[in-house]
Amino acid sequence: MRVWAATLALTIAVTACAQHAADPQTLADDTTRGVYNVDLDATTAHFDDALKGQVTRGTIGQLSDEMHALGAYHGLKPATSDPDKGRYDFQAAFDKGTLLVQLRLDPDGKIGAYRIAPQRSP
Amino acid sequence: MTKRRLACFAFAAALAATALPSASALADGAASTRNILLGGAAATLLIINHNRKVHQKYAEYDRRQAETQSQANNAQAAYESERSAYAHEAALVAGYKHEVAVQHQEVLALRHQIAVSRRAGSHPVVAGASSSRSGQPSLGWGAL
Repeated sequence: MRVWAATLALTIAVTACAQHAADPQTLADDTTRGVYNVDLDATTAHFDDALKGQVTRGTIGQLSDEMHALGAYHGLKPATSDPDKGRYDFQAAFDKGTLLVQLRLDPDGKIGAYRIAPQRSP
Repeated sequence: MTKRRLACFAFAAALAATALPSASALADGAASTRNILLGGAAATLLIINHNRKVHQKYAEYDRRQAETQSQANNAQAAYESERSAYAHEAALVAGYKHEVAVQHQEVLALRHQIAVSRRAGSHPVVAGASSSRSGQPSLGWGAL
């Protein structure tokens, strides 16, 4: 009985971890929060090696300034996606508006591109 | 005077003591001579046997000592060999470390070159020149 319970718990934990690592929205949200907080490690945590080489605190600061101009960050909503190309767009909600968060994932689940763009008010 | 007498008595006693066995030997000359010879030979054999055992013991002891010393010398030699081998391996590891460090520097330089080339391409790292699907300029890293 205990063995079955342990196996079930382990399976749930592994599944949860796997889903967490592969979920584009979670990756985008983690990265967005990292940028918003000007946290280099959090920002690049899911980046692939090539993209990590491009990130500097200065560039994070530029993006963070764009976000802070819109107020507090509340989270992401899915916008469009093209999983075959690893492309995912999200709408990031802030106090005073939204931003378009664009993501490209590598086949291994790492982020190959992360960009933000202002959105016109609906 | 007394000393001289004592010396004379002592000398006489010594002579008598020396003469006594010969007197008994004279009583049975052949048997005595044979006994003396046999006794001497036995004593000699005993002494020789004893000496041989003593020499055997010492030889065994010396052999053990030699073996122990030999083992000790071998252990020392083995230790020296191990130490030398370790020093060579440590030098080898240091060489590997240096090689890895050089390769890491090369990787970093190549990454930098890639970043620079991407920056010079159509997708700047942070630029208003890049545009999103909606036509808005985008900021960020990498090509979508």
